[in-house]
Amino acid sequence: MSEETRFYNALQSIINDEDQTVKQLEEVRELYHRGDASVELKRYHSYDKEKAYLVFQKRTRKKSKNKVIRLSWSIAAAAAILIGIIIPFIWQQDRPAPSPISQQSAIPALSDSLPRIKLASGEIIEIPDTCNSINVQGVKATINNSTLQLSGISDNSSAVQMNEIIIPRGRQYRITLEDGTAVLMNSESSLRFPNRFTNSREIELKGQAFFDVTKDGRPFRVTCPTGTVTVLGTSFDIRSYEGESTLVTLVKGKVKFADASAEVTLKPGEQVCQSEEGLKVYVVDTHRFTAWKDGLIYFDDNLESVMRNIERIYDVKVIYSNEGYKQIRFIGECSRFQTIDEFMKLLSLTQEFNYEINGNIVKIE
Amino acid sequence: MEEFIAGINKREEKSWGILFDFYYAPLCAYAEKFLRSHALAEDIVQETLIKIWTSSSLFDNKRHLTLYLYKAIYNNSICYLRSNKESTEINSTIENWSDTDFAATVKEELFRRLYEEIQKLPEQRRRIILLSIDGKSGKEIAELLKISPNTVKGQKSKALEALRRNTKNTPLIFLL
Repeated sequence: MSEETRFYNALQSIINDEDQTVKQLEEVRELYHRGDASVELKRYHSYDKEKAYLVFQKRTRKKSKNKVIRLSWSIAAAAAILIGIIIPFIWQQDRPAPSPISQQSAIPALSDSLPRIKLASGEIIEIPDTCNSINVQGVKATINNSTLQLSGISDNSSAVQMNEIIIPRGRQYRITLEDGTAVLMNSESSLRFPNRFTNSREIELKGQAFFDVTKDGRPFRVTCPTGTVTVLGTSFDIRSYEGESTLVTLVKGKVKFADASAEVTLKPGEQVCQSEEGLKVYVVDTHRFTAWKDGLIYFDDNLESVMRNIERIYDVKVIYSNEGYKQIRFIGECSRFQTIDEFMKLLSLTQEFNYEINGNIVKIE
Repeated sequence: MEEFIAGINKREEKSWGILFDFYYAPLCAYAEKFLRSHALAEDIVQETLIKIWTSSSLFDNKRHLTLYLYKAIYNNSICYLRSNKESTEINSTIENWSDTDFAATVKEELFRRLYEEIQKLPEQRRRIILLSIDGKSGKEIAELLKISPNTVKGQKSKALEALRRNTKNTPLIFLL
């Protein structure tokens, strides 16, 4: 009998409380019946696993053979900043005026995944939360409070190279482009940008981002997988996640959206929705589509769509014990900075369903 | 769970973070049984985990990983006791468990499973269980968490029910 088989057989026979003859296990059986579980578990809590993991990370990162450049960072501030603001529900009457992309406050991380920069060379750099600056080929940037400030390349003769910033689930990140344009990136989104802008400003987006474009005479173009937005100086939101309709929502200024077959121009307060039926322009409450940039979760949809968004925000996976729950409609708004448990508690107050959170799995039952 | 093992094999931080959550403390407690030193146990576990990370070891499933971890910690602890220094490599076959050490390993794994399941409980239920392990009464827990004693009672029984379900009725649960 192999060691593994022996081990698991012994384990199983104790779990099943079977009569078994293995002599050396009698002591173990006796311990159970004496009742030492609490003592054993208390013993576990005398070891500091968080501290041990930080040491482990530090040592394995240094020795990592992966082709990842680690940036300078300070261990002292390694703990992620979590601000526990809890705003249960903010109803329409209290709605704040649309704000510019704030550069002031840090954006709490809702998962441990780090944003990454993919260089033109294919190299991938992780951006630790405690990192201050990046200075590698083609990218010069300073980082402060979840904001990545890109500086222009002074050498106008250098080749234009495209770099990409990738924001994982559970994170949001601010980027200031070299022309001063502010971009707030939502979870699970990526942006390709050049090391310097030439006569036109062209970037590529996958996922969702809100833009405050600096007016400087040159056109500003954002290409997403299904179309292109052209602007002159304006505030707008693009949502272009795979498997969902692409939405461009204009808050201020003027933008043009074009796909392979048609082109529309939007006025403030309008939104273009790109679906299989082509482009359709609606007058919308822009707050609903841009609330995310002010740290809010706005929802007015069936549970399936609401939870698809929640999966990105909290880096979780949602499963349903019954398909019927997916069609229940929910309307509301709350702070993104609550925990997933608090969010689910709010929804379950309606008594439409129960939920259980197990690690990063959310089960709706 | 396959995702966890795949992440361990690919040396992904997320999976190794989970490994620290569920295994670090039990492995330390296990090593301490042989080494009889709290600090030394932590050192041996840290060194062993780093060696596994830098090695090319791959694991087929969670059972394989679990047994490998116990074996590696056991070997390194015994090596240390013999030579008073760390062994330079992990070798999961050189030492065979004596009967008493084998029983100690089985016991540790049972408690580790309970510990893992407690960590998977929702926040409030986990806190209630941990406080009750600390010997706090339902009334004391209610005061500490600023919730009603009835909530404590309800949440505790839900938590125990989940633990019972997930540890397949191990007799351990009834000892909490």
